[in-house]
Amino acid sequence: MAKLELRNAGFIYNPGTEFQSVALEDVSVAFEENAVTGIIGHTGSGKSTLVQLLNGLLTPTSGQVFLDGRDIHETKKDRYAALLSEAERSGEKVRRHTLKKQAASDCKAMKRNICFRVGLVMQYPEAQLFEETVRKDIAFGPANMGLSREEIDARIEKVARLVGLNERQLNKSPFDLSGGQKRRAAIAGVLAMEPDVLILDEPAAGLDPKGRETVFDCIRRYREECRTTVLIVSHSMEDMAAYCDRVLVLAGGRVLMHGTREEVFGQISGLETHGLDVPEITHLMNMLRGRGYPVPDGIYTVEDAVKAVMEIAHSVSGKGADT
Amino acid sequence: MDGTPLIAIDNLTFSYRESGGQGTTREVLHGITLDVQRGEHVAVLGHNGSGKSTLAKLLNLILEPDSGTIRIDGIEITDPDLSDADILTLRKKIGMVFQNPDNQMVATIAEEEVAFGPENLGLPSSEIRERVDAAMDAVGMTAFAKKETARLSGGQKQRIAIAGILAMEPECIVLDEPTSMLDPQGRKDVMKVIETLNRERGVTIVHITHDMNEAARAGRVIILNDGRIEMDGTPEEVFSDPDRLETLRLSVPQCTALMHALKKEGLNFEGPVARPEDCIEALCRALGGGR
Repeated sequence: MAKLELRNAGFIYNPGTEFQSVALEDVSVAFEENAVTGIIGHTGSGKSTLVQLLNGLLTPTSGQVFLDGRDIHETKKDRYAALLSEAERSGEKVRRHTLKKQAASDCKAMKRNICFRVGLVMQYPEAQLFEETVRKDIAFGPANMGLSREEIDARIEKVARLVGLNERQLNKSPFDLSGGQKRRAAIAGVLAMEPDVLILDEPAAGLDPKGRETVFDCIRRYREECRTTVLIVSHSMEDMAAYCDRVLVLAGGRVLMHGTREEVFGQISGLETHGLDVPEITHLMNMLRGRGYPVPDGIYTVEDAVKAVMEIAHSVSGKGADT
Repeated sequence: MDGTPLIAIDNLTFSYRESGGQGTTREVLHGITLDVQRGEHVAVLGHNGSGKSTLAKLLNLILEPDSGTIRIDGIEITDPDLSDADILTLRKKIGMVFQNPDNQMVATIAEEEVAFGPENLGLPSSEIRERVDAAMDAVGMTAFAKKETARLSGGQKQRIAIAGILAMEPECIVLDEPTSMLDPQGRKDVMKVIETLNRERGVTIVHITHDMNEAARAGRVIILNDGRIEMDGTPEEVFSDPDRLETLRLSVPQCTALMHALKKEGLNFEGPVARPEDCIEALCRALGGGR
């Protein structure tokens, strides 16, 4: 079963007014457990809307969103019907009144918990830092979840280690941190809620190369340790190639491609007409192939390119020795 | 043309006042000395907090230095006796484009946005019209002249912002991370505009960026580190030592990284490369046997 899924989901801003605009149309996509999916698409392709549907900030104007197979916007009535048929199937005797109460509390819990279970790190999240100390800021989410003091402290310790903030930095004002540290502090605040699904919108935008690497390393560490589903929205094809297993391409509010990194980047021409691109190294390898060298398909990182070129170099020098 | 550099910076220092501190300051630029000649395309790199944006703001007198001088076209802009009229003349010579175009948009219609600058220069309306049309044409946005700025994409907005600066006919444009919020197409469009302005119109470009591929397209790359100039040279020179760049919290373009890794594997190349088109030639020469 997919961890998080959209079924025929659509979203229209300001429906029925003259400002009506369709942001997403008939999107069906499933995100598997414990995979990192990159979401790409040019400005206005519907990425931000998609992300907000996934964590319940927006309700789809058509279609549904499923988390662990349950509709996150399920009505009490539908929930009751589902519970009833479940009870009937199992042959268990339950009172309808109990089921109704159960359905109501289930729906309430879903509404309340969806934003904790699907954690969203927005663009430039450091703009949302507000507490006196980094520690208090990270504690804000878990405290709102109603966790105990001990549990909150344990989580702060864990996420601080994951994002690489030390004790001294935890006790500082978030405003006294460097740009990269602020970004990581803001991400830690979402990680501390231990979401089932982590979504990051341009997590490395505006950071220097070292800062970018540090942020992506944090995400990788978190994912390896917590085995969660991660979605990353980014414009950087190089980062997508380096850190994602799967890529979802949106264009004009619809899914253009969804598959493994190799499947998606393998179709450059499809990407370029939509204002997107493949990593620079992939372009370079394609140019080399155009010059008549036997370069294999599917090179998206510098390491793979080094291997491919060395293989060609060896075969060329080998032939040279024969003659 | 005489030999006076367009921008001459001598031993410039600048400090920010600490928030909440009692008059405490934090020096972010420690004695920058730098000349930029007319028609140069300079990329400025440096880690977050290295002083890039501060330097840009000093060039346009948005900030005033603690000590040291900046001369634009031989005139000292840091001279406290400079009249307001002189400052205005100087600001016309150097235009600025910021990271987020939304922050510098004032009008609702694209061509009105571009006209804002020249209108404020008090030019006759026929000349404003000419300048706006020329500027829109230069950034390839003529078709969008009557469009609402709010309905443009990020890349289109950024090109309108550049046109707005261009209509002031500056000799130099300072761009502070103009592509960092744009998608790949928007980036390409903005980079193309920057390169055309530099090559075909001789506009001096100072381009602050975190993107190594963009920096590789400049004629000269300057690296700031903790408020000092750490390196200054052609992209090939600056990117020749990836390990050093890493200690400066930077990286090299992917094609440069490839060449360095191949060298370590024992493949021989002549000279460092920073651009894909040079990289491919060097690769073919090194491999031989291609068709």
